[in-house]
Amino acid sequence: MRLISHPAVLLTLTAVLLACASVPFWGGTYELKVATRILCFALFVLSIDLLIGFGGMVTFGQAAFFGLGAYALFFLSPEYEAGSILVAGLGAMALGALAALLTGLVVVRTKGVYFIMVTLAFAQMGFALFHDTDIANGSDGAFVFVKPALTVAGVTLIDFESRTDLHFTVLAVVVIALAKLVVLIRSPFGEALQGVKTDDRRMRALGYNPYLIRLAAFTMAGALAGLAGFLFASIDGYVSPELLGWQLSGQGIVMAVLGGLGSLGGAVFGAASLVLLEEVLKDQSLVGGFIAEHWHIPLGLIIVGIVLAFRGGIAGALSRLGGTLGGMGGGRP
Amino acid sequence: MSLRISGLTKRFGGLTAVSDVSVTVEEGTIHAVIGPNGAGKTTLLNMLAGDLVPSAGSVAWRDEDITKLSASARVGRGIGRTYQRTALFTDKTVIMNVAMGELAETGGWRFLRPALDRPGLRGKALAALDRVGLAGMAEARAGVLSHGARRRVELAMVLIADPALLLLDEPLAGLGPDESRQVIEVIRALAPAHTVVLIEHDMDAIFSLSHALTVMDDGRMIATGTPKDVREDPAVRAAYLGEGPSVWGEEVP
Repeated sequence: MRLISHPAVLLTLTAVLLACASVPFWGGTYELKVATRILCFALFVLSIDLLIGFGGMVTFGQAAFFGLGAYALFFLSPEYEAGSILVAGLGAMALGALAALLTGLVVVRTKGVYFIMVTLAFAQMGFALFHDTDIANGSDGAFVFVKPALTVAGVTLIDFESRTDLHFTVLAVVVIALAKLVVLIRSPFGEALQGVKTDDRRMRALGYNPYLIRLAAFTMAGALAGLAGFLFASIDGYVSPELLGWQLSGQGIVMAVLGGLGSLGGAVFGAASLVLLEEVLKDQSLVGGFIAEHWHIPLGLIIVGIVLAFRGGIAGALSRLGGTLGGMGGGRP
Repeated sequence: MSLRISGLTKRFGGLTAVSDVSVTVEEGTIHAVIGPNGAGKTTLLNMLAGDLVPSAGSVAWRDEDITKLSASARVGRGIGRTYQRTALFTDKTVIMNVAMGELAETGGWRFLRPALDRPGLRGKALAALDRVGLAGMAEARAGVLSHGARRRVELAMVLIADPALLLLDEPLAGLGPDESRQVIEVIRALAPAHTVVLIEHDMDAIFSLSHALTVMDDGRMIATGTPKDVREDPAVRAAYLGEGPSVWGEEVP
């Protein structure tokens, strides 16, 4: 709560989002795609932060809903003409929410390490469903040849074939999602969710139903992850089972922790720093051939370093850097 | 109209924590449950609150059998409880902790406005805090409070919802003398508008507060009645003699 509104966090968040907004004006295709990818992951990590940072639900299967959202783009796009962004986007959210609701009925009954196990198990089932069957070409993945557009009365307002259109749409979605989540976290529901995280027995004694509160949060996070996956798949117009895989779920957790759990803004910081670090470390001309070839090793070291040095991730470090600017110092995350 | 406990029993495997307890608590009275550590007092309270399912017996509140009701359903019947070990939401502010008791009315199913913007809520929360003498700490984070202050916030969390029946698990534990006196007066003022069942070790407080007493030992109820009856009960005196006569103060010959 305090992290969300900390001036240093807000300032940095604004700066990062403005930087993302500026990319179409100076960057080429490569830079633009990296920036759009950062924003899509930021959305994905927001869904993880809602669960881990505010609900205490350590999910290791969030990519399943991300991947389902991506496949929604494939299923809802006609083969030779542009589909509707609205239909596909809302379809992706609905699919993510529905899958989260159904698995959530079981998942949110568990806690701690069991929660990790059960979310992972469901996600791998989802992965297998697309990997081991002929749905959308199975393990080969499938292409969406014409990306969707938003057309009102014959006028095309947004066309995802344009990288700039897609980029600004994702940016707008990130800003709206951040704003909505801030409102949600401060609402009675958000307070109840955080209460359930701290002490669900106490919440029950007060008259709340922790099970339903967890389930609602899990469903919302599923919808958000679905939307993120849909936008992500729109970058290259390609979907594959890996988008549901545990590697991506793990990456999401790393981004969430790196950015700072329970801060919302941290989702953007985490996504940006991990994607950028990866891009830099893979670039031979920047780091030399040896590191570029074995980029996973320095990346791992840097992650360990950041986690050890900054308690509370990047957002936590920023809030301490800003000191008691907002008059809200003291206390640990 | 009363709280009727009949034959209430709780077994954990081979251990019988509470064995066949039957007590009737009249509405509008303060009823204390006393006994040595491990006597089964908290287990009894947990069954009254719905945090534990009894192995046998029943609990009726206002002529309704609530034995099978969940803890949150019992809140809807006007039953609130506090815990022996303070269970505050340490990340939240003091006022938000107290407000959680009132927001429970909506179950948390409100998504738009900030929690404390609910009409009248802030005032009610401050009033509940004022009753326990903590209005000045409203904006502090609960995690930074002293133990005594936490106990009082705990009480305010229950008071705000204004339950008809309050189950208090050692409300005075760890309080300083001044805090103790203050909380005792808060509890005393609850009757006769409210019914109170409390577990307490402070004998002076119990005898000054309670209208009726139940004494437990080793899971069994060994006596119940007015403080005077209980004090003169031979079984109670036998059970307590081993602990030293000072437990009962000077009035015991």
